[in-house]
Amino acid sequence: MPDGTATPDLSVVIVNYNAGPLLRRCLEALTEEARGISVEILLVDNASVDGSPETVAAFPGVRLIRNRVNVGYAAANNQGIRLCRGRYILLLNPDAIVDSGALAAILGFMVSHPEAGICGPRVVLPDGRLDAPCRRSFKTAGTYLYKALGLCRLFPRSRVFGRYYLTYLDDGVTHEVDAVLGAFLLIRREVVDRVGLLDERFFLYCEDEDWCYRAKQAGWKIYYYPAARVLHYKGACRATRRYRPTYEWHKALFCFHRKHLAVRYPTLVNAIVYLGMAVSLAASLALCAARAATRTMLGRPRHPALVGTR
Amino acid sequence: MVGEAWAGRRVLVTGATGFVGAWLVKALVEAGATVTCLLRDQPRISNFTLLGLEGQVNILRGCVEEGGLLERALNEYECDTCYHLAAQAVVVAANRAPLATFESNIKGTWILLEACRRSPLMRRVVLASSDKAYGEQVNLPYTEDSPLCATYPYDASKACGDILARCYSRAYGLPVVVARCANIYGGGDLNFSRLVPGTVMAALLGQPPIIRSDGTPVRDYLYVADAVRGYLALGERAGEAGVTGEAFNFGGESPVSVLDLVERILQTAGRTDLRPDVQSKTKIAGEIDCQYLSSARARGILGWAPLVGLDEGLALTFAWYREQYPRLAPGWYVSSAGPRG
Repeated sequence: MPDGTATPDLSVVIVNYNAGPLLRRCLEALTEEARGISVEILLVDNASVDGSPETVAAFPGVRLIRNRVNVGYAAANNQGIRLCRGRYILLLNPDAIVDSGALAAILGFMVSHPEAGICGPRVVLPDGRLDAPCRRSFKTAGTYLYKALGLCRLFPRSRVFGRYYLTYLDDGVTHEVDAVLGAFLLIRREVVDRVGLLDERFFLYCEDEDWCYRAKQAGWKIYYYPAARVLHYKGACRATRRYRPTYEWHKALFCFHRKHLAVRYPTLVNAIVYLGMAVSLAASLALCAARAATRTMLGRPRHPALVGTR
Repeated sequence: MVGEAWAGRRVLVTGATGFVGAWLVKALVEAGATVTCLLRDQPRISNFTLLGLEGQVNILRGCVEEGGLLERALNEYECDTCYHLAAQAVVVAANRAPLATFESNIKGTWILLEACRRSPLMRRVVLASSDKAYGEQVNLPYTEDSPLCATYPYDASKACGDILARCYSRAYGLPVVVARCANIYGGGDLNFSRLVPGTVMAALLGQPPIIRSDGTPVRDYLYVADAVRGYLALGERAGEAGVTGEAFNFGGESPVSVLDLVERILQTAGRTDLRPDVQSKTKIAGEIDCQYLSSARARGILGWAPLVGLDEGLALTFAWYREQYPRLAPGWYVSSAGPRG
């Protein structure tokens, strides 16, 4: 019986906030797929009130850290990452169900590609569609503009307009990307040691993108590896009020732009970008209010602002 | 440092699964003594198991209130030295259930003292008392001649045990000495309701440490290795004139407030970004404001002194919990395939 002092191959950090029964499914799939791998699993609970943290009682291999208040996604992940001893660290959402063979496959890819700092799998939604943000470019003034104007949807094959979700690339083929989805993000320990932990100034969004940005700046490559598949029940950790996530999403965009991109652009461009964000925020909040007022569900994919995690 | 004094000695230790007891047992084993431990419970994780002491000592299953068991043990294992550390040592739990506390801490002590008295082989008995036995004092620091003014159940139980030891020494000539230690801290304390382990774990987990008081009470802290050295010194000389029948204070000699201690731990952990959650706005009624010990007698007579300063001790303590964390909490899921590339 291992005494817990050897270094594991993989450390998994799951941040839970009211994920309900999905957390059990996540842990079941994870522990099943982790057979044959030396792994440690840490669950950091952000003051859930739905009883989901008690799920770990059925999984004696899982360590639980309970926060008394919701410290945010980045801070909670960092609590777990600081305690991790694995050569590879996986950030996993409780609403992300690892598919058969996915863990072994993606770990194998990282082992055989030492230039890979971060890797993300093919993430699919329950209806079988690709969860588009699982492979994407960084949000620059251009890519975000094309996304906001809907041009990336109109011209998916265009290397210019389709750049944000890389829709011109075959999603069945491994390729280099700028960023992957934080719902399943595998990172090499050396990258964390070099670029640091998640930036806690991002409360709920863009901390994964920020991390990927810093990793790339440090010379690592980020890969999309579709041979590994993950099912994502997006929105399992949604907040009860939609206004807060909408606000946080836009705030994250603002922080990301200011932190990494503003230096590259002239003041006028930055001003336009920030104005665009303000307009987008106002429009999104108005949309939330309209939806609440009419109580109808629109039959299109959810806007990221409406979900608690991606 | 310990020398030849312990080679071949046969020692009975109660409280061996506890924080201090396990370190003491380890030191005795390393010094060449044959150690017999009285184990009441065997928790899944204890300092005893973490130090890998099973297999290095004789183990008796039973509790200290069983006089027959103790007498048999002292006789069969031919013990010439006895360390009595077993007690209900968690102050909050002790105060919640006073009778159980009195049973284990007071009755357990007199049963053990009587068993030692009746053993013809016993040469040295060391009893763990506590600075809590002094209660609230006007004059600081506490010296061994300060009256034992304990008022709360745990404190009272330790004071009673202390007095019983002196009784057996004076009335029956039992070679017993008493150790009154300050708050002992260090790696191996798995009682996370205590201030140091609780704060260290909070820092490790990235959570704000909780301070139940208003942070102002001043206490004396003694690193566990220094406490063990004090116990060994007493165990070597418990039968000597000037030592036998006496009590000795062992303090860290650097009293600090609760808040100050917590800040030092956060500094050691590199987590000064975590702000302590001070839960009380005012002083808690009945809580002693300030207590610390003078160890002049131990220095003068035993040649003992605390060697590990507070900051150094806290650094060692944090490092221990950092390293042992995977063993303290479940979290291992491994197949026989072993690690990959």
